Amino acid sequence: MMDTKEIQKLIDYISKSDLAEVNIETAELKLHIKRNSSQTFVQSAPVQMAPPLPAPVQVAEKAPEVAAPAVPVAAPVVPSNLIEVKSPMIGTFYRAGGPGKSNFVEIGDEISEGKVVCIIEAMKLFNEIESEVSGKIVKILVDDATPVEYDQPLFLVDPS
Amino acid sequence: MNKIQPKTYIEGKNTIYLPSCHSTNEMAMQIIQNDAVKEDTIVITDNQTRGKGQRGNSWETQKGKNLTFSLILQPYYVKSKDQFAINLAVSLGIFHALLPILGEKLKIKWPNDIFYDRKKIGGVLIENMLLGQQITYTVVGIGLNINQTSFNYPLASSLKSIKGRSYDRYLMLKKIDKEIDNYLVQLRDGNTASLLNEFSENLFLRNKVEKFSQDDKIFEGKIEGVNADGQLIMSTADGEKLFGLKEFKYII
Repeated sequence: MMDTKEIQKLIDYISKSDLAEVNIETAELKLHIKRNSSQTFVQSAPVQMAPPLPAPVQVAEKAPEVAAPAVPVAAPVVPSNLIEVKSPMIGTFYRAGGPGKSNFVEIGDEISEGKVVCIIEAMKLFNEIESEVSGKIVKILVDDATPVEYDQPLFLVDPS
Repeated sequence: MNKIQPKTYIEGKNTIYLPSCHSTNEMAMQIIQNDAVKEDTIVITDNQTRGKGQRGNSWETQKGKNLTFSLILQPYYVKSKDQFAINLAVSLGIFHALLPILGEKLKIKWPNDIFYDRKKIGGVLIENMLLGQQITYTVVGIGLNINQTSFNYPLASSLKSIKGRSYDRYLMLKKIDKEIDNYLVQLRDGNTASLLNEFSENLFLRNKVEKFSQDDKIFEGKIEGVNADGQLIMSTADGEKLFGLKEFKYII
């Protein structure tokens, strides 16, 4: 059975790829990840909560609490949204304030609104990009010192 | 850190004078982060010890001879993606403050150096703070060589080197500040197109066939102007081309 970490890894992988939509179905789980222009929505729906065969008794007892309808439904039962921090301009993305300086943010950092997350430079104008959301940095989508387009996602933030 | 000594050089403006500091832009950024600054704040020093140029480059200046200052602005009327417009206003402001003294050899070297003939007399470093499409603060760092006459860098010059006399630095500061304000008002009123034209008309090496280099290959071209994104428009043997800063070099 996939745990949260594995799902997170999968989301990271998909966000790095060009895939627009991914459906994964296993015995215990149905996962539907769709990319859209403004946000990445993640929907996961437990389908059949049949406990794994060698499951300890405690787990089997807990299973009914999260039991889903017998008939598989693709409805979002536990929706979790990751928000993208996007580039407000065309330019070059920098993770630090200058050569030899430490990065503004790392994966796992809790950030609040207004926190500087990167610098984007264009035509000798240097821009400190402040986050418009609070949450935890889940993924950094762009490599240091590489070009970015207008509206290109830079970071994935888990606002919960 | 040095003690801040307020002095009023310009009426209606909050001026923070530092006898010595690493970089007025860094100070301005700290001031923004620490307090709620009002618009129209000037941070100025007589001795900038670690002036910032373009990412990692430095700006060297002799103590008490030149102008090194930063303006803190809140250009709410400019969107993040249109920010090259701020560069137009700042470059043109400096240009017009100097034009009566230096005349027609004064040019703006794309994107924002101030040149006289083929020598650099001033530079600009603009740092913005962006929240989505909103520019919350802009720090405009300006370094202008006024009364310094010896330079380590062979392509550097100053007002005094050119004109053979000294100039009052604070009078120059007032002029520059006033001219930049005038151009910012024009931006606020939506006259970006006329600033773009004026900027293009006064570009260094404009309308002359010159040698430039792109990715270490030399080519001939003629600078025509810039577009709203700040890209350089050139006519070449292969037709009109647009250049960004990274792939393009001057050969001076």
